[in-house]
Amino acid sequence: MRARSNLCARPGLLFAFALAFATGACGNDLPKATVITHMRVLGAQVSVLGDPTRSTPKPGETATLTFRVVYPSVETSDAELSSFLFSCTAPATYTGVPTCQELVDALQRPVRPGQDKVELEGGNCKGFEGKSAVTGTLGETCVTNTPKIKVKIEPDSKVGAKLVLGVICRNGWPFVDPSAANIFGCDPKPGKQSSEVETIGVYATIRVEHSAEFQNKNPDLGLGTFKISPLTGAELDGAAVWPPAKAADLPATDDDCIDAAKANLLTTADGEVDTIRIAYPTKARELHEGVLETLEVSSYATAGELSQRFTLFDPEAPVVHGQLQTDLTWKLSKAEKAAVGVNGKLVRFFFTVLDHRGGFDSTMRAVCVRR
Amino acid sequence: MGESKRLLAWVLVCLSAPTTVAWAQTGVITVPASPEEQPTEPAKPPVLVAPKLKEFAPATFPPAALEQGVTGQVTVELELLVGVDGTVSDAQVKTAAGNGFDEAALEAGRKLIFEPATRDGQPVPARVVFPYVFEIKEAPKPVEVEAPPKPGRLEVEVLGADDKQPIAGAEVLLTAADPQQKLIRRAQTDVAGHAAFDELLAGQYQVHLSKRQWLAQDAQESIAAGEATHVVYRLQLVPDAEAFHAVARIAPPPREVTRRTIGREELTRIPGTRGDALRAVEILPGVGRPPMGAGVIIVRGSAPADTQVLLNGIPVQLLYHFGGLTSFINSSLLESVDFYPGNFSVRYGRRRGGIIEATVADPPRDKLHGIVDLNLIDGSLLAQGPITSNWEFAAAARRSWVDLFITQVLSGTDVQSVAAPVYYDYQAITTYRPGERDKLRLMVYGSSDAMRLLFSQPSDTDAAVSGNLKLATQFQRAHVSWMRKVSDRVDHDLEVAAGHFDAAFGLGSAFDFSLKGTDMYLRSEWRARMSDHLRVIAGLDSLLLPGEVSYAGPPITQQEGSPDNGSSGTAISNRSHIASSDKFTVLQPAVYLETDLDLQPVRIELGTRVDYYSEVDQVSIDPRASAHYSIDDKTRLKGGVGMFSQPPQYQESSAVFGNPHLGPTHTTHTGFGVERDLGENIHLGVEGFYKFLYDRIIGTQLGVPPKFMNGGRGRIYGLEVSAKVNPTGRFFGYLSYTLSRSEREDHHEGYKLFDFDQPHILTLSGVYRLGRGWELGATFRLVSGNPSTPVIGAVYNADTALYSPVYGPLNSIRSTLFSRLDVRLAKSWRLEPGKITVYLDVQNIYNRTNAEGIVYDFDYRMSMPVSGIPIFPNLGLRGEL
Repeated sequence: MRARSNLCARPGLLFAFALAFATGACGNDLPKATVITHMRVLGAQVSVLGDPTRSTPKPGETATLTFRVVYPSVETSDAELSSFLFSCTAPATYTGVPTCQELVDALQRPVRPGQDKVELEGGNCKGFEGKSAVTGTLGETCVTNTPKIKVKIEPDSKVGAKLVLGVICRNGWPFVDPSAANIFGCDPKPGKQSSEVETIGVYATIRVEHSAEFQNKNPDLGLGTFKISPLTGAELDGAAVWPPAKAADLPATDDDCIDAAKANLLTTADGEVDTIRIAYPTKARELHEGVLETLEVSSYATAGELSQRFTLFDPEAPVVHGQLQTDLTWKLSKAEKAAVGVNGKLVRFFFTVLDHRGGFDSTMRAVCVRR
Repeated sequence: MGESKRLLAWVLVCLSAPTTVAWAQTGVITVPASPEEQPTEPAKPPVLVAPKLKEFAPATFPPAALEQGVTGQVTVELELLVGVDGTVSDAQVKTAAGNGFDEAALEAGRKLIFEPATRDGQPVPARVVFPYVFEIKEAPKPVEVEAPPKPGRLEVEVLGADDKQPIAGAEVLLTAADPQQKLIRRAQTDVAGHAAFDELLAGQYQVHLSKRQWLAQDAQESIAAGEATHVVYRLQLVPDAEAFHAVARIAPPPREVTRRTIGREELTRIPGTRGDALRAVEILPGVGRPPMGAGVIIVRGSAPADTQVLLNGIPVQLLYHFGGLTSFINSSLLESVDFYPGNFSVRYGRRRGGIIEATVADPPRDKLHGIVDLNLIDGSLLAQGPITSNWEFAAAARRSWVDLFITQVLSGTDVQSVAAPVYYDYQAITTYRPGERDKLRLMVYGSSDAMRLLFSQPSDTDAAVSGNLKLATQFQRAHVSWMRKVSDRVDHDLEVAAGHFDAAFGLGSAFDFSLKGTDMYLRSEWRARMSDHLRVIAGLDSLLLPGEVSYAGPPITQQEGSPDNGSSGTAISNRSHIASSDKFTVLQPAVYLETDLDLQPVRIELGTRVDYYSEVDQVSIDPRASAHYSIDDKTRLKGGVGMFSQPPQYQESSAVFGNPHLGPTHTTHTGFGVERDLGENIHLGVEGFYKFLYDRIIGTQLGVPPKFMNGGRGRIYGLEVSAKVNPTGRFFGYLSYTLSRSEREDHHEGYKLFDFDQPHILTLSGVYRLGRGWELGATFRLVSGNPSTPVIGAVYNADTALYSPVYGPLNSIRSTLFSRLDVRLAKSWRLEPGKITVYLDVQNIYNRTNAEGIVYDFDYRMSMPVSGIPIFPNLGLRGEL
């Protein structure tokens, strides 16, 4: 039977994949996801209007979805961003970039192959500089500064989730052109070169909670503790808590952090590996349908190599003194160390958490690496 | 009499019996008179004429007499009754001589032919006394020569027995038979194969011919005085102990346009296959290069699932262990592997690409044989031989060693081996011949692969790639064959097989699949020779498969032309998750009828196959035709056209996962070619083909219900050139080149390249026995890189923190040219009663970095090729009994 023989070909692929993964054959020289070398989006947080801790609005409520954007340089900020976002109904199933359910529904009408086409209408944000605007039936939103969109859930809505799609541009005007191969794009703003434009197409979902008794809250990394050693000169168990880095406390440039009081840390000898410990109170996890939610912590840094990007705290994850705990290693390359100037080098760390039920949070830490 | 004397006498008697066995008539004649012939009155006496010998019959000289040294003349008197036709109707010994002479004379006497006796001119029976005389001459004694005799001359010409070509440098040793001559002379043949000896005395001489690599030859020659004797000798080559000894098989008349067979001598020796018979198919024309670790076969631009592998007519569930490491059956059990790249007989169905059929060899009937093979990957054991004179057995088993070292490989990584990868397979075969016309065979075979790894940390590219990675597949099957020669014109084969299969694999919570069921097959084929020119074949080919499946993972999408299935595909986390299960029963009966019309030099095969597919409640009718025309005994033209249908894949036609209202997919095959034999062992072939695919099953846009539809098309065309040197000397080899194009069209959006379109496939493979047990082989492949779809952008999914690719035009870029050289070196020692062989099989010996696809970084900004298998040596030890 063809079905079986075909499916049975997959174990081979899986095996090859597993063996390659296991033996490090997948190792390559491509950029690591954990290193922030260009503008990056690290996630999006949904906050219900009136109850910002909640990530799942109910019918009749309005939620704000805010994308967390970070940059390799401390000198760059959201002020240079322009975004074009819109929302629609999230599809029931999808692979890759999802399409609005409205389009899927339209396709289910009798279609003559090659003749009938259902397409998303595009748009752009030219002329909306410095202000936000909402147009069209999909709530197309042009926004400057931090990318965010308000989505209202109709009181009689039956949808399981709303889909937010769009593009975030730095130094450019965003546009959406479904007829183009690359759907999302940014045109350089006046006075900017194409090379100065950074573009990230984005999508996210806002889960709609129809049950009166359930709600999902965003996890709070403020409840977690972070330590780094031996940069701090102490063992992790005894080391002081690594405090959050507030933007206001950071130096103006990455290469002059020597006087930044709260991020004044020393580097170690060549080749040493530094350890970062992340702990999160197990009690902070929510129960969902009787099972503790799984938290997925991601780690990033503007320099150096982190040992891993993702840490999963699943329901069976071990608990140490009431804490979910993981240790990462972080190491600057010789070249990076050699590039540290007399005024030090600021390295920022970003940690995010997803609960895979719509909840998200992020936090930042920083060190000043000195010669 | 001395021994030589007796021998000489015997030789002389035998060679010149007419002159040494004399006969005489004594004139004693008795003619019986009948009553009516009694004279009633005195009359003129009748005129009687005695029988006269017409044909003499030489007697056999009695060995007993020879041993006793009897010499001189020996006479046996026989009384013979000579009939009116001149033959001897009765013979009796009248005067015996003993020592076996009486019996010999009687036997010869009965064979004598006479002119019958006559009375008054009329033939009448007559009784006659016939003295049968044996004369045994003494050995010739040296002749006293009064005057010097004229010398004789011996001219020798030495030729090869097979090619009749002169053999230069052969040594000719001439020895006089008469020891008193004490003559020993030597000579060497010249370039014309000539040598000569002059000044020879008349008499007998022994001639001894010898030359390296040729069998020595002895002869006795007589030299006459004053005469030149010219003798031609034909020497045989010494049989090459190192040569391949392929067993000639009388293949049945072709039922296909193209059948390419890899015989037993070649199956396990193709470099780069690790001695695996089924992987040897990869060197043949029309066979594409499979992606690394895929464990699939690509035939003439068709999808892997369009090609079926069968073992003695029954489909095989799981062809390879762990992504193509090795196939499920011990190659030493196979007689041959037949490969049909297209236009195959109606015997085969449910596939629209190609057919590969492995045929099990009958176990040997002479003695017990055994093979032990140990290499770095696995070890196997095989035993086979006779049980009784009409009952044989074979049994084999294999197990991998990967589990013994995988723990070491994984140390220092984030992966734990919970259940190390292990595969095993086994085969048991018994053949029984209850009579001349019947042969029964029972095969029990099975295979199992299992592994379980624990990823302690998620992959940086996808957090879903974590936790347990499990894989377990296995099947067991019993297969009964009954081959019966119903009559001199009718044969019947019956194959019945049933077994259980089970496949399960999963990856954490992201993916989980399990499938299990029971498969049952029935194949019955009748072949009847209706006349010298017409053969009719009718068959039944049925499959019944109840089973159940459960699936949890990404939505199931179209197989072909889906970039997400490639190495740069969307992460599992960025696909929605579905979960469902289903129970099913598939019944696929088929009947076929084929006629084979032999009108030499033209042969025409016409056939039709009718299939029913219960899962979609559809019938397909596939007519097929092929023809062969022999231009001469070395050159043949061939061509064919036919329809080939294939049911949808399970997931496509399942009411749970797909669309139960689909129809089968179809392909028309058209092919034309020419074959030419160069000598006995070299075969050349050129063949062109065109395939049109229609009713291909494609996914609906955006995967909307009913998810799948019959709307795709495809076209594949190409040219294959092949050359093969059969394994009859010390060498065998293959050369194949395929030039082809394979395209698909979905939703009427224009033709695009097929995922495995490989325009150029060049394969050179050869094995040479160097002598002294050394064997060296190499396989070189040069293949176009596979097409792939570029990623032109990416969109960030904030729900998973992963990017999803945005694809450019489908299959619009291509990987770099693939090349690889595989080498196999073996050394054998014959240690009676067996043989030991050490072999080294090195794949990709020059460590070429071949691209198997493209891998992108986390946000699809940068990319690099995925590297294929690096240099991969495998050392093994093989013992044969």
